[in-house]
Amino acid sequence: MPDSFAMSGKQAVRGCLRDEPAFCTAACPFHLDVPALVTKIERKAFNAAFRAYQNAVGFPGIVSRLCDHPCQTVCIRTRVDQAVSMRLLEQSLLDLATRTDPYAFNLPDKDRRIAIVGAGPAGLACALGLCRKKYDVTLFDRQKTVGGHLADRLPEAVYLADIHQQFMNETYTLVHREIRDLAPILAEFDAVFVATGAGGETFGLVPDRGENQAVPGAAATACPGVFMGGGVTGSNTCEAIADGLSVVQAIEAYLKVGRMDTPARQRSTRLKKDPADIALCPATVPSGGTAYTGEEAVAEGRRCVKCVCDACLRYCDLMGHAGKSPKKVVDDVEATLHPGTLAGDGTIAKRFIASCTHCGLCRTVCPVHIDMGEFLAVSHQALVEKGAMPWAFHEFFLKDMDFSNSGRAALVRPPPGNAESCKYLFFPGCRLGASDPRYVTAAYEALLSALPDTGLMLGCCGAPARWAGEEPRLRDVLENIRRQWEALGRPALVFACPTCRQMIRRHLPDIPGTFLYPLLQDAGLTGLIGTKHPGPPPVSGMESCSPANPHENRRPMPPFEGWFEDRTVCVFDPCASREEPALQQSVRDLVTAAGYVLDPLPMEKHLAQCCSRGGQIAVASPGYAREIVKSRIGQRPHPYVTYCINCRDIFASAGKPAMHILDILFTLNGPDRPPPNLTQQHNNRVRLQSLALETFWNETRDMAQMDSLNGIALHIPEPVLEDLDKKMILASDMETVVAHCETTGRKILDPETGLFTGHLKIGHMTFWALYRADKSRPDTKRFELVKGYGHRMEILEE
Amino acid sequence: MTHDPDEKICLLCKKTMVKQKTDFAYLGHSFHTDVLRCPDCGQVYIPEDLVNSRMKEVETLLEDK
Repeated sequence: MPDSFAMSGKQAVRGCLRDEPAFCTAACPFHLDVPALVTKIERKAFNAAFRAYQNAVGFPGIVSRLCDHPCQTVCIRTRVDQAVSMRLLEQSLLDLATRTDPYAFNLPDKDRRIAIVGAGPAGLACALGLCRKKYDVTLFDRQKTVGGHLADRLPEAVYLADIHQQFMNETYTLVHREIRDLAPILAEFDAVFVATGAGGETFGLVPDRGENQAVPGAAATACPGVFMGGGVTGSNTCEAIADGLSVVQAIEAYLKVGRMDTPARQRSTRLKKDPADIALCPATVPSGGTAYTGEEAVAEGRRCVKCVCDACLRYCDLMGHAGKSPKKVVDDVEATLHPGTLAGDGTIAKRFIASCTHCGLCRTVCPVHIDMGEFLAVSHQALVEKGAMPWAFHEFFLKDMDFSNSGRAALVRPPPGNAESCKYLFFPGCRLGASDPRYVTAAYEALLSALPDTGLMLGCCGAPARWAGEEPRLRDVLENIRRQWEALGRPALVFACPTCRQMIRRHLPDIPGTFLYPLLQDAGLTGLIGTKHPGPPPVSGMESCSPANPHENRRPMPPFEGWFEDRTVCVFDPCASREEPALQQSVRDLVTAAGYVLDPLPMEKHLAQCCSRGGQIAVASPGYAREIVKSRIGQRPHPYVTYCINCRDIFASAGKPAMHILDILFTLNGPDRPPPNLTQQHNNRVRLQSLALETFWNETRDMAQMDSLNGIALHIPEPVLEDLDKKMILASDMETVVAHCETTGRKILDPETGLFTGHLKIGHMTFWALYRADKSRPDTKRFELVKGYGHRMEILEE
Repeated sequence: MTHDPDEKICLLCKKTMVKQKTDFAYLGHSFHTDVLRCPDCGQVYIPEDLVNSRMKEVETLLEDK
């Protein structure tokens, strides 16, 4: 376990509102699950809805008439239009349900005797609950008939009909006697419920409604076995019925284990809901005046918002996609970290953990700011340290990071001239130049013209190591950045990539930094490309490793007219920009100043979403990653403008017209530029290093010295390269395999086709190359690749 | 002259490869299957079909285990 694994799952989701009751349910004396009831009504399951109502309130005929419906007072719809009319829905259910008789339960009788003092609403409700559990119940009342004060509120025929119907399968003993002393009853019965009504006898006992710390149980009194509720404790009619129903559980707990401390029902909710998310929907008017028809009940039911906290499930693609709430995620992750199987390998959430994009949106939208992304990141790291996370999920990206920080692609220089330190250091990140080296050279040229004291650092910020849970590798990258930063006199970093900014702020907080785009905006430094150091367009294919003439293709690109007629674009905020409102505004200002019209995306600014690159989930969950991209690019038909090159290239690879902001500022590429493949990205980084050295420091790097393929040249036709890209195999891997085969002689001949096959394990992966000799030049070491493939399994016994 | 379409020759040993039991390992699990190998040096031949079918299935299975 990493040291940082201090955050247990339960801590991570502490305060989660997912299981909090809806406002109506919390306010209801019966704790009626209104959203569940309404759902039944919506599907016209009126009998099921009535049964749920009957089970909750005991006496549906009485309660539907007498309840003052506190649920309607707290209904969130009152802040939008009108509350869902539970009053009418409940009354309508009595008519709409065709089966209203209670179920008869065939249970054996229990030999415990319970006395109920008072046959009013609370006493009857308690008797009903206990009778249904087949306890021996005796009701004492000074009146000859049951009902108590119901006689003051409803016609006798109405309430007696309901009482008789609910008791139709039950039997109890009714004793016409006024109880003045509990002692004889206590001697005869196992438990007593005092329900003597408003102003009734308390027998010197103090009723507890949750405030009495001495006897904290529901409806408990200080006398063991004696409970009290209903009007005598201040409840109104419906609350009294609810008291009588809920005390059954407390009495049963006392009978079974002798305890009086059954918790009182939760009467509040911490649920939070924004009325702004609720669409206007006027109340349904009953055509009959006093009750809904079936169709009207359905219509009214549909107005119910079914209040539940589901912000994370609605906004987070991962939790929504898997249908897992934070608590369920924590359960699964903990079962994965601490598997319960004998073999210790019964893990269920490995792929889930490796599928988080770490975009942070879950934390932003959660009303109590639960950070599931952080929990998953820490869990990921713990799995990596246990050796339980499949290496294949991140190996490609970690190798890519190592390459970016290798001598072939990385570069750290003070500003051109004789300076050894600098005030600013441009850190464009490893991805920008991989897409098109000119993004970096054009931006650096512009920066130098305004801020000549600006150095350049090419390399990776370590985000792939963080996403892979590889703490030691992350530390190495960060220490290297810190060393170089200190060597240059602790300059302020100028970031082009919001993820790099986020990484440095998080892990190296003492390194100051700013973004490139506001600097360019402030200095009015756009449109300089083509004037001095334009550089060539991005490279493609194998031949790109050799440095090209940086002064070719100096011609400025034509303006982008014609790609989109009305010049309307959408700014797609990268997820790492979510907490950078100044940056977001700056980019919008720059795009607008360039003559574009902005159409806001539904999820922008503080709700910025990940393009699917975050967390590098493409290997662990390729299908899920594709779903994310699809949902992002489908939000608006206009071209997107981003300021994260990953977003741009990922959208472009899915066919969405997209530009990086630097495409606009320096007139570099149009929105339909195909994204570079993986090999081109590698080669572009090599190109960028040599281009920057040549352009800004007038140095030439001898590329030939850097290759060690023993003079072997491998030609890869374009379709084969495309196929390799889909398999996430680099041309350089294939070159290494072929060079290995040709140097060692370890290759296989297919006599039928004359093709050679050979393999080599590079890192953890085993790569296979199917290739042929160049027939036109058989005496040379030139070959052509026919196919490449790779597998994760290791071949033993070679 | 026609060749057996499945015939493969190890160029290091100049021997026709034959099916032999071969061990594989992934994520701490090991298993074996018969694949073409050189009878002398043991060089293995695995076609892409096998990689894309059974090997891929087992890899996914072990990753989710």
